[in-house]
Amino acid sequence: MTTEIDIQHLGFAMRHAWLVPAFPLVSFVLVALFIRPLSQRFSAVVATLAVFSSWVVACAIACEYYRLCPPGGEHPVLVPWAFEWLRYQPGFTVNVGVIVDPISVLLMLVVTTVSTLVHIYSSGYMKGDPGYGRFFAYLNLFTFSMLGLVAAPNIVQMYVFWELVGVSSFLLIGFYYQKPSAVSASKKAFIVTRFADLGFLIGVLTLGYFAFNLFGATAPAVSARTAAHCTMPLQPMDFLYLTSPEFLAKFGALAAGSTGITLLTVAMVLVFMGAAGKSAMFPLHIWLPDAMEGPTPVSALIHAATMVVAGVYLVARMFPAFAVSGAALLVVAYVGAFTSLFAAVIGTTQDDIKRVLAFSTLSQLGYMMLALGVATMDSPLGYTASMFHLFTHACFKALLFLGAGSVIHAVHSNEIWDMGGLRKKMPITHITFLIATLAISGFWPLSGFFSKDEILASALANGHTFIFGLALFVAGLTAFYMFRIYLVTFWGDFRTDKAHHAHEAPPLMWIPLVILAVLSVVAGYVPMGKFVSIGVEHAEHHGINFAIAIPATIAALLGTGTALLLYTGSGSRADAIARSLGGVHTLIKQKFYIDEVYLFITHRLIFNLVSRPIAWFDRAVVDGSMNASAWATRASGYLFSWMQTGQVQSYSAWFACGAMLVLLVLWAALI
Amino acid sequence: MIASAIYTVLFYAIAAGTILLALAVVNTRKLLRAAVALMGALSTTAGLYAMLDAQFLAGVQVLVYVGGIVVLIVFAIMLTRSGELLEDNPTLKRKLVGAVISIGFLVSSVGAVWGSPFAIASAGKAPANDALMIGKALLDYGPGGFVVPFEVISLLLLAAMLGGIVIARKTPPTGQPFTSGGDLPGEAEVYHPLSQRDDETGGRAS
Amino acid sequence: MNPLIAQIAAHSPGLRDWLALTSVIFSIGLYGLLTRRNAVGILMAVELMLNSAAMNFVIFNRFCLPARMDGSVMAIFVIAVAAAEVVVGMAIFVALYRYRGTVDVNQMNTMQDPVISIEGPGDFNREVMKNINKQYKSRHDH
Repeated sequence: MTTEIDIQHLGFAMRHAWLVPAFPLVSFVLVALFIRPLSQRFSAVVATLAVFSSWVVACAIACEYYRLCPPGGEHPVLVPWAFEWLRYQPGFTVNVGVIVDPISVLLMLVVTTVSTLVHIYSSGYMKGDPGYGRFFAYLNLFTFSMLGLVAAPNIVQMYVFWELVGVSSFLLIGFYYQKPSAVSASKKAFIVTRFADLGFLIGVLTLGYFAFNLFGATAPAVSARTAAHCTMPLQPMDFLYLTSPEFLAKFGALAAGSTGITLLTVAMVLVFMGAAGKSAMFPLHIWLPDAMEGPTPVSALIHAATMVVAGVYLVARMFPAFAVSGAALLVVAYVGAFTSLFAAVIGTTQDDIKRVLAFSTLSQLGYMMLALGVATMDSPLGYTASMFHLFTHACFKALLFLGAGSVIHAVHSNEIWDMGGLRKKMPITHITFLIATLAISGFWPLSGFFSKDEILASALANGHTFIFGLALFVAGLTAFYMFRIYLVTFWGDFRTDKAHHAHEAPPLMWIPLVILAVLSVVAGYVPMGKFVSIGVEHAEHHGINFAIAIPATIAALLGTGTALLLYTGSGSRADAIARSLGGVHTLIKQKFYIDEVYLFITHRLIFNLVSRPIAWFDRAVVDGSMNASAWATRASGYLFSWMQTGQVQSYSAWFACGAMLVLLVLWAALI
Repeated sequence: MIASAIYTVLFYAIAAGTILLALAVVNTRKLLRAAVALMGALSTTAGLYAMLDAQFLAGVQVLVYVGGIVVLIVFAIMLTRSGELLEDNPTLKRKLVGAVISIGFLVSSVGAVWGSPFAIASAGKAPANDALMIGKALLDYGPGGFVVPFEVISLLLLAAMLGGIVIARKTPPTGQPFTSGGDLPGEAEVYHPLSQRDDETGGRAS
Repeated sequence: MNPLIAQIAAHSPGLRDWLALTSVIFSIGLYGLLTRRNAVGILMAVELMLNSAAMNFVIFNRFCLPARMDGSVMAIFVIAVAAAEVVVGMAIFVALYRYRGTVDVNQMNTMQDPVISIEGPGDFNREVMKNINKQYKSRHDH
């Protein structure tokens, strides 16, 4: 079934799709420059309304898109709005625009929904903070950047907004800039992601170079029908161009030197490096746990639901290219799988509630990557599953973070061992947190069950049995560490006075919790396979596949049971096990000493072997030559200062001598 | 032939006069006499202009230089009481340095002039009504016209006039370079220091 | 024809003679500029120099482009500039005289006084400062 779409005659929302990122941008400028100095309260109202307006427009776009391309049918990529931004040469232009296809619509909805709820929640959570208005300005900046990233129809716009979300993440992690730990965490996040973005940039340049040079300025690289879905002519940097079969077939045939690896693989691995940095995949994951230094709503919005999935989104966006280069897709799959296991293992030992959630986020992001990695263009179930999990994860992980924020707000501590017994003090938080915990653990009938199920099914269907087993194990671990923090936080006795005096959060904070809890319950019933698809083949996942659901549920039950066994009552059983594991437990608790390895590499090796010589060179040679020239100037000034008598006539005498010299030269030239 | 001979004699006579007067300008000890000598030198220069077929310019020279500038200089001499003072003779060293530099300059410039190949137009008579030609050239905005420099010069003259007024007003109190010069009430009294010392107290004449 | 007259007529001044004359006047002006102590005297010397320079324009006009008037126009400009210069110069001298009681340029040496602040590190700088201050002191002691 094909649908004919007239790109010139779309509905209002589509034609004005730019409104989605524009609302937060305008609000950011207004709040940051004009409203914030006047009224903190009003800043929050304006910021929230702006994001809410974006949500309304995003909903309208979603409705219109699925009216044009009904669920279950083909889902073409539309670029209903764009303008020319950079024109390098004929046939090589970079546009700014809004892309509308299933995943961008999904992401727009997720971002605006979570952002709106986080804005509402923050107006309660941040009350009394001196940086109240600034916080909302930053949140708006972030929302704008994220929506711009999601809407990017070409890889250059995505890169620009990619950096912008990095900057807003930096600003928000370092929001409490008086706190040294927050400052260093923000720097760490920025530097690690920048380092990863270096790879992304090289990948972008490689792709752009070959896209332009393989086809030249005129050759059409995509079918006329695809091009008809864009308001502007396709350009080499456009995703539609880069993922078109014509381009990939030609580019995929080029080998990088004599290594046997195709250039396409190299470029895609570089692009994946950027994605891994933003989504905190294994070797570059170190910034995410530290990023929890930011205010908790920020963790919910940026470091759980939206920004960290940008990497997943990028891989999904470039999926056809990854699929053509099978090796790059395998890298995605194994990095994702390893990260999900690695983070889940660390998550079982951490004591800071936000850190556990951060490692859980890492683990779930690994899950999404893994799902993308096991998909192919012929059986794209993993693609759908990944997007599905992204969607449900955004709901329940934002809920978990906001719930954790609510608890932290009440107890004024991040340590789970400072809490305990909070179920009586904070009933709403307790219930919503329980729902989220059940959802992330994958219990029927909550949303996490369905999306996890699809991921496992796709892994098994495409023959990745090892990854399937690993994912199953991680599902068990997830249930274990989630129930661990749930039980320690909400059950048992009050461990401290602070926990004893805790009370329920204000309505501004619990209303978003309730909304997210409802979403976490019902999100699983969205027939995602009908809404999100790639290629012509349709990924239909009919009902519940018991061959997968039963092992998954058993794994979740095992994890939950272990947690119940260890963390109810006195907790001495857990200590005993930790003691019996000895060094292994310490190793895990210290996050496998990855941070220390990084410190060793940077401080010991790079600082001593690279930075010191460069610093010496800078001081001694560069500065030295500058100082020498300054010295020479001063010295000559001192030597010739006797000429400066201050007498007009001595100056004019020198001047006359100079003029005479010129005349003499002239004379000599004439002779 | 006769005319040419007269011209030659006239040239050398006027040139000698100009040089002598110029020497008087720079060497007389009384400044007022120097000013009179300057007037003479400028007048003889007007004669030289006339000999160069620039009659209009000769008139301008007399009007502006002799009639205007020299009078201004005489004013300057009187206002700064330089006429009453018998200036110290310059020291021998100063004279020597001045002589060496100026003679050196003379030698090198004459040398350069003598060595240069000039594109001398052999024939050619100066236009009869040069005033008309100059007036046209000054106000012509086509090629060969000077209307822009002309306007710039008029601006310069205006600026010079304003500058002269501003600078030569009554001296404002120290540290306030641009005031009404004591015209407004409340400003400090004008003082006329006679000493060159400009420290705190010594500069003020009682 | 009287041979004397012919001989005289043969020495009719050419371009180089005229230029030599202006050079002489200019050099005399330069001498005055360098030796006069009174500022008004210097101004007069400068007038001489300007005058000779203006005459050069006319001379070149006469000998190289007799059909045009560019040199005369330039001479008029020079005269105008000279007038402006005298006006401003006179105003300055009058103000100077009011302020300092003299127009002797030998006494106008305030530009020489060292007003250098120690800024930035460096032994050399400090050495220079020491020397300059020593000179300054010795000059102002007597």
